Amino acid sequence: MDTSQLLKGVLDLAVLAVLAKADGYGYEVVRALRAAGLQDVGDASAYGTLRRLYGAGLLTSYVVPSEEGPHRKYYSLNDLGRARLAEATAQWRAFATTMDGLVGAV
Amino acid sequence: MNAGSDAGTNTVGSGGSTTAAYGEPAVERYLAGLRAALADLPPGELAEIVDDAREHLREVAAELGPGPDGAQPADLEARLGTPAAYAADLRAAAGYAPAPAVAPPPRRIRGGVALGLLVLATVVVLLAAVAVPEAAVLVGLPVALVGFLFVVRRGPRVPDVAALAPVRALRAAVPRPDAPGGRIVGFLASLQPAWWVLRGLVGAQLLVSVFGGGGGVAPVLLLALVAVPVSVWLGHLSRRDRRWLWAVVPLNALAAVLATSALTALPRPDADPSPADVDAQTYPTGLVQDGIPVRDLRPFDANGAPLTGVHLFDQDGRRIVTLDDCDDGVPPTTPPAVAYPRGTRVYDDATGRCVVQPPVPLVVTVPTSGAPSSTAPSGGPTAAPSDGPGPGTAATPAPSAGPTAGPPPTTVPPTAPTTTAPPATAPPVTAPPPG
Repeated sequence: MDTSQLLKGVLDLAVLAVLAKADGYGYEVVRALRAAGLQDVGDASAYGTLRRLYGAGLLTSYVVPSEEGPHRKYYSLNDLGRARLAEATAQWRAFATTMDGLVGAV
Repeated sequence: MNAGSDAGTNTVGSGGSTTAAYGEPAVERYLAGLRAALADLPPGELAEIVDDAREHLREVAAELGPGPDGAQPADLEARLGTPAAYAADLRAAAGYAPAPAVAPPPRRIRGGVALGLLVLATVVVLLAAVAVPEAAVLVGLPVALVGFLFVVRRGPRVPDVAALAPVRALRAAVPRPDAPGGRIVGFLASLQPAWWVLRGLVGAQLLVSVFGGGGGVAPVLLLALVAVPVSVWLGHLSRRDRRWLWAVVPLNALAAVLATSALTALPRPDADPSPADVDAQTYPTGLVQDGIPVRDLRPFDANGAPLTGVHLFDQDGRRIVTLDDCDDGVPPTTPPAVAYPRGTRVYDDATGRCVVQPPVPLVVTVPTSGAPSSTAPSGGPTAAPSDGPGPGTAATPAPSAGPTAGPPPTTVPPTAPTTTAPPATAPPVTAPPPG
């Protein structure tokens, strides 16, 4: 099965989970997702998800100027984002349990 | 790179400072493709996306390092996919609408013809409106209508015309709201509804003058109750659907000319409103007596003998000029004689030209020196009035008899001379007077 299809449903949760650990700028989030094992995450998909979550008011952002290289826009989870993360985590657990039961039964 | 995010940050951060510079052309090329693929998004949104993507691409370029030959920038597309694919992924993840169907390429020839005809129609209307506003509409609007046929099939924003270089240059020249001068442009644009009202009034005035005659202000105002809302409606309509411009722009030109001429025709407060001003404009130049043009002057001496080569001046020393009311459309080839009598210019039906007619013989009553001038006709009754209306032949003795005879020679009433003149087309039947 194409993992990218599965990813679509959980990318929000994955990004929120990454930012819950530490603030991060776009490419940092991409690499964190990859490092966690989600190799199929497209760069543009991660950036687009960040934009959408930010637009929905779940993230705050701040720019960190760097003496060398580009300035970086950091995102951090706000209260709304943390609430959404908790909600999505609960959903995921229930869903995963259901799927485990289903898959395990076969 | 498989380490935690903190380790990754450090790696790329140090790499970015050394490799971003040579990767920059590739980054900007990629961004250009991205901009094109996302061109339908709101400008502010697009700018933010591009800023984020620039940051992203620099990170990737730094990570990739130089290309195989060491000088070429890194191959961003191999890593990230084409800009179009990047844009599609971004749209899907960010929740933007998918890219609109690719618009067919603009047909510049159609657009050019339509724009050219619109400009032509507007110029025609501008030129004709000064003379005959009604004709301006009749001539200009059909031209504009032909132009309209070239844009009618392609969308309310007339993409074929909008793609033309002059149109794009014009639109780019208008300052944006945040640019210097943008506030002025915005203020002027906010006045547009006032113009819609004004042109509605002008349209009502024009319609009344065409169909109703000059019935005063009331019918204009009554018609304006309809014309002004229609004009405002047309304004909103042409904002949404630019195809209406092919009707609105020529009509705007007409309305602008009419409004301007109406403004300049208003009486100015500093102008002298005396009737003399009006007279000077409405009456022809030259000599007029009791409203009747004086076309020649016939001097006589005290004995009733005609004089020739007489120069006449008014109380201020200005030369008295009689009225030449013959107009055949061509200026006289020879300047009129300056001494009186100088003859009259009369219209020749046969040739359609004005010809100079020599002074015809004339017999007049010269008042006796002692008598008051107002009694001039008193000498008349001595002569038989029946002799007076006779043609010029009867008058021929007069000039020769004049100097020898006494003060009242064969005289006719002063009214007679007007009837003694032969028909305008016929040459005088008698010899010209001595001169």
